Amino acid sequence: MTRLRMLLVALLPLALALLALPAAAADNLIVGAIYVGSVNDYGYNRSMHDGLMAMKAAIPGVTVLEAENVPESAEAERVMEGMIQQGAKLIFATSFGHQQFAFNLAQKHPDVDFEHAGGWMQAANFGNFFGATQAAWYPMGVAAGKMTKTNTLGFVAGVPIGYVIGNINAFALGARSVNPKVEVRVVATGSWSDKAKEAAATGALIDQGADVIAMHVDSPATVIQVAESRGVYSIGFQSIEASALAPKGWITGLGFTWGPFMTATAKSVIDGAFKPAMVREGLGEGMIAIAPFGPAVPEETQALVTAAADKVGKGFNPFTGPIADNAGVVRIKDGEAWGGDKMGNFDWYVEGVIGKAK
Amino acid sequence: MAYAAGYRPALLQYQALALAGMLGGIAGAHLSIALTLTWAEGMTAGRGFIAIALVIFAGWNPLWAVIGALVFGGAESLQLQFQARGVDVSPFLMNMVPYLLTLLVLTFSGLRGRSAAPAALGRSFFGVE
Repeated sequence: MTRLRMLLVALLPLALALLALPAAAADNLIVGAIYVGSVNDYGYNRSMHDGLMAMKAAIPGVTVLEAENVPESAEAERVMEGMIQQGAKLIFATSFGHQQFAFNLAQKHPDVDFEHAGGWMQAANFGNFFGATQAAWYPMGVAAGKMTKTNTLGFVAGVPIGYVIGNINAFALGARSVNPKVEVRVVATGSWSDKAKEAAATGALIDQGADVIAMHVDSPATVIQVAESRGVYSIGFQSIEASALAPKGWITGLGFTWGPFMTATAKSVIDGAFKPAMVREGLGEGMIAIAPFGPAVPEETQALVTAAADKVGKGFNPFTGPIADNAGVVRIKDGEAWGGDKMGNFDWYVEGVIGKAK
Repeated sequence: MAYAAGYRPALLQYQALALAGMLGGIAGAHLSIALTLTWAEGMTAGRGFIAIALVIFAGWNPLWAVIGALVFGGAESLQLQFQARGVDVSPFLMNMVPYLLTLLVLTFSGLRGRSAAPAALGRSFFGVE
């Protein structure tokens, strides 16, 4: 009797799944998304979740399957395989390290389309996308350069790879375009998500006189909260929702707005016209947005920041030579400019940044 | 041994367990409420394993564990302080410091001889039958 009941209980989900299958097989698209962290991080994972929700709101009948805290290991493959078994025909693998595992599944399931955030792999059913963040940091620098009173800006970096250094460089260039006396101090924690170190790094920067703190880690929450509690300004990154964490010290921030891209991708899958590409879009294309300004930011500063953002959106490249590194060596010559293909190549900081890049 | 000396081993073990839970709770509360002002899943970032390693390095001696914790914490803090102060050292080298320290401590504790783990660690004892 008990064994029979156990068997029935075990079979129940299967029976339910079978009942649900015909509905799933209809033309209503099921989209899967995997996140490396929690969607309540006020950061990167939140921005991805918000994008999926915008897509869901824009296309009636779309179902979204989400999985949080999916590690960058074979576990990711199992989670995505489960989504495919539930009928997902489009999958967003949103962390850099999910790439290989999503790609393996793309080979195995040619009828399922994949989009990976930040990678480079390509196949007929596998594309990738990311925000062109570097130039977008320039207007953030303008904001910080105008707001600082100590002329010292702090930047908490995760892993100091070329793209992160590019963000810091554009931030410094923007700040010095409005305030040549500004210096930027950088602390790299060596991890994308280590809250204790992020808090200690923020404190160390404030101790050195920084009164505006920016960051590039997965979740800006810790850095912003510590800055707020110490009474200094902050500039957010990843999700524009982070402004809620600093009602007093928030200046502005950059947030990814993946919604339009995800919506367009889902529509292309519904129409059977999925076209993989290496998509890198910035402020101009609407993949990155500037967050609303905080209460402390004067109107003229807001106007300057907005103007700088418009300039970048229309194609202004902050990495137009001559640009020297912080040891005085000219790295980008007069008449030269570094484009999107070189943003991962930075292993040097521009003049005005204190510290070593390698 | 403790039993022979007139103590009640089970009670002692439960006391140690309760104390460990309390100290862990205090550490967690400090991390989320006092230091980072935020909470997130997995926010200890593997520090629990460092604590276990510390206990082994300290040979189950609480005083050495405190000293070891200060050295490890100090190394981690230095790595951030040096960067904020603009000391001219590569951040990659600085990030190596806690690991180098681990190797050093391992080497020295290796020289000291066999691990000093308590004989009854992980075993239950309910008296002699």
